[in-house]
Amino acid sequence: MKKIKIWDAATRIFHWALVLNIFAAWYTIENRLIELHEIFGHCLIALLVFRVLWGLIGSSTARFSHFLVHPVAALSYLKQSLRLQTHHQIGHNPAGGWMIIVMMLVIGFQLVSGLLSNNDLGLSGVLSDYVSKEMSDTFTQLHSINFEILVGIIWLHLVAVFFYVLVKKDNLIKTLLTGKKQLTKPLNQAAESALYFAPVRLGVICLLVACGFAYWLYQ
Amino acid sequence: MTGKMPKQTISPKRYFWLVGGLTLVWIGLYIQSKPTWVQNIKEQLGLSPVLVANQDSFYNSRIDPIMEKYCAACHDDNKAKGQLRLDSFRQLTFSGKSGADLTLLDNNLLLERMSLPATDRLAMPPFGRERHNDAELALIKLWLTKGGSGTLTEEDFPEAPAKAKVIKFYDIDWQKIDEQRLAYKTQVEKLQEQYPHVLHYQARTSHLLVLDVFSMKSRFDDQVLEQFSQALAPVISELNLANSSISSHAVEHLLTMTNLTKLHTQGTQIQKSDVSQLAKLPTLETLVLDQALVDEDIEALFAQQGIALIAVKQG
Repeated sequence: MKKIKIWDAATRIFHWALVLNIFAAWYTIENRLIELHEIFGHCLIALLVFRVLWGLIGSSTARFSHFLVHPVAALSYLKQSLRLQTHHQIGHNPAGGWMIIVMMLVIGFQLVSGLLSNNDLGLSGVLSDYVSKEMSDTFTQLHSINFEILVGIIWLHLVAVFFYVLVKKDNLIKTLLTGKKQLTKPLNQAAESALYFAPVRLGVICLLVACGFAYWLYQ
Repeated sequence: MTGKMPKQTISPKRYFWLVGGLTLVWIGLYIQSKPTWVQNIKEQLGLSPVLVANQDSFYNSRIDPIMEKYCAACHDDNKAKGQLRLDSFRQLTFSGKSGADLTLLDNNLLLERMSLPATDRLAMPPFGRERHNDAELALIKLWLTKGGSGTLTEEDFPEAPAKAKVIKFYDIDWQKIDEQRLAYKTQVEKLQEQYPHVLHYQARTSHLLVLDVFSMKSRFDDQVLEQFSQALAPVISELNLANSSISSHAVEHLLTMTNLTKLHTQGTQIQKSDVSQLAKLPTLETLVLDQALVDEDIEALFAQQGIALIAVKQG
């Protein structure tokens, strides 16, 4: 069966950079490396901003318009998928699309709460001076609680990924590494021609904008 | 975009049994990492007594104040840095992220971190924070040598130095005082202007007033008192009417002063028959009056109300 390109380099790099940065942010806070934790936090801001931009103007499979469907349709897909009655081939599946939105919101809140939090030892998030100390303390607590939620969501994400890998025999991990996927059924002409991959230079511009924003916040 | 499923090797049912098992293990490990939850569950099931230090324990009287002073700001229910709380014996027992038993003397992480030089990266309290002294550290060590107990009392630690007496000054809520004063500010200023030197605040920290008519004496009569009582009755706390021209008519105005604690009426025209009415003042503590107005019944009445009666002989 035909092997086609599903994910562009930008989306793939984003995904694995996100994984590494979340791990690094966790590792640094666990080991009291608060300054590094802040740097990884700002890297995550850059990644999140990049993903939002890429979701608006990037390659077709990365766009929100490509994978966001009505929640009822997403639930219906999930139900059928668990019964192995349907198989999604190109891009994020309808349920996975919503998982991305939830994950972006949770990571987004984690980043905002981090920017507003403090460690009582002179190092505070860059926006913490814009709120009262009590408010900053509250966000510090929420930053910690939200991480537990994030871990739960990552677990759910992994359960779904390995459901595809082990049960549906669709190696999403490999696809997200190589960008290419072995189709189980040939795509129709319309679906194949709808695939669009944004030029690398656009990805670079989006990345520069995102990094610039994160650096501006960090300064 | 959808098609037939490729051949599967693990059934969804088997996969989700596996996931369910792993999730349960994960939840189990998660709960185990929360000793507070474990203890709460044990207590709820009656498997463990409630873990608290006795009220008269050495911990509560000597160790807890040290923890409160230097540690609890970051290690309380609000922040629990390092998942460690030091705001009670119960919480200290649960330890923190390290899982180390903080009630044991050997390799005690708490003691180790508190013993590090102040500038050390791992020192506790962290550099820049108010730091314990050697005597306080020695006291914690002494407590640990006897098992880090929540039941042993001060008598079990005869070698511990005597507890220092602490004098506490309560914070003054200036904003509240200003707000309370604001309600009568205009009236106070007006009367102070009209009758200089007779009206002032009881203290800088009070919104209550003292009315002392010494400078007016006979010029202060029932009409003037009525003016004051109408404007300021609820906030007059002390009233010195000695040798003024007030008569028994003033009593009805005096009875409106619900915060009056001290009253001087010697040398006035208040009649014996009206004195007993003053016992109705709810907050009155001291009444100074002419000796001629005092008899056994009056004494008994005021004694019953808990009001100190001071009789003054005029002459």
